[in-house]
Amino acid sequence: MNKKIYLERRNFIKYYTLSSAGIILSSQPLQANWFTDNIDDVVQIIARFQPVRFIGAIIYNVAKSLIVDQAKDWIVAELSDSHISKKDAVRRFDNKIGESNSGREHDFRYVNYKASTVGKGIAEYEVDKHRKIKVVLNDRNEIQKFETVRDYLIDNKIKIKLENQKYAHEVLGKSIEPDDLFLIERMNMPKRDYENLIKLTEAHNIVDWAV
Amino acid sequence: MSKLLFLILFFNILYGDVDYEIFIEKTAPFSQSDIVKMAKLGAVVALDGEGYQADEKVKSSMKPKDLIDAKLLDLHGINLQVIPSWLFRFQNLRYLNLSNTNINITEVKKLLNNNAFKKLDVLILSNNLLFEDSNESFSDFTNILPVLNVLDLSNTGGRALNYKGIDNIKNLQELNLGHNTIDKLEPLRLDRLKNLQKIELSFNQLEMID
Repeated sequence: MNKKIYLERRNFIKYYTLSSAGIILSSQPLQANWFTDNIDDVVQIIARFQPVRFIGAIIYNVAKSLIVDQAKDWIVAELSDSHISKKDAVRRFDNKIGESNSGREHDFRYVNYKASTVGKGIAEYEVDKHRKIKVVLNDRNEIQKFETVRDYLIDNKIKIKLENQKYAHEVLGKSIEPDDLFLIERMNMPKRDYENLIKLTEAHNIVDWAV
Repeated sequence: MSKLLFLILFFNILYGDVDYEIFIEKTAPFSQSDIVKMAKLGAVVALDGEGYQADEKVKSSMKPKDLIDAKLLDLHGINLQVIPSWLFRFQNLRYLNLSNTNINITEVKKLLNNNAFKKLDVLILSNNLLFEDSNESFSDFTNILPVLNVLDLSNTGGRALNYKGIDNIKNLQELNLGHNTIDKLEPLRLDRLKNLQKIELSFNQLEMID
């Protein structure tokens, strides 16, 4: 277990890459209160990840959501062909999905990311004609966190751009579904909103993982 | 009845309840001949909604009031050369595509210094020889495009000094500078773009990035 945590920490540093230019940000030495002492830096890093990775991490409170690799197309195909239970999905795909070597891939594909979270047993889903894999939330905690995020975006008039949209727009009304948040390509919000969302959703695992 | 409305409006303007400038812009946004010109050029708009609405070509039959709320204007591939005056009437745009329209930096300055596009989220200026042998840069722009998040300047023929002042666009999250002749990054002062998350610099003349 300790070994696993150590590897994740190490990878956390490794993944401080800045987009396609491949500019590597300076890594921070790990200390006991690393997160609390360096919350600005942590948020700075998380804000550079694909937004859906951040959304996954705060809704599921699973830090693995930040760095899980994108599932291969054949996994997407099997999951979207007919529904596979969470238990079976983990049994079949867990060890076939590794970790991303960048939190912000150039060729990021939303459905492949969603397939990863299903294969890792993080998310539940249903097969959808258009979206192939549609995230569904059954756990009461997760639903609450989704509502918290949704309401925060609405109340603070934060503009988001989804995968199939050309520009960012405010989240209007409460018709937005959990799966919509897993299609966010860009969020127009300052760093303090990331910090607020982590606090509001009590996403302690992001903190624990970083510390 | 119309006299009464006129009087109410007159007193509202007089006593400051209505912003006169806004009133003028909202009541006379485009002339019908502007719309005919747009239709002939093949301009594409998305009239309303929040990004899901389908883009459609401007039709001569469209009314000026239909266009005032357009959020998207796509003119890519149209041989504009100069920025048409009707473009400044689109003051609610979130997305403006001027890729491959044969405009130069003088036209871009005209566009941006007009201060008309305060809501713009995405601006695409790619595939225009903006700078051909010019030393002009973005330094002359200040406080422009306050909410612009995405700027595409790929293949615009510039050197590093031409993109100086890009850091004035404070909210930029995504910047595409690919396919230019940038040989150093210092003049761009990218470190001042605190929200920058994605930058494309491929196909330039950079040898090493510190």
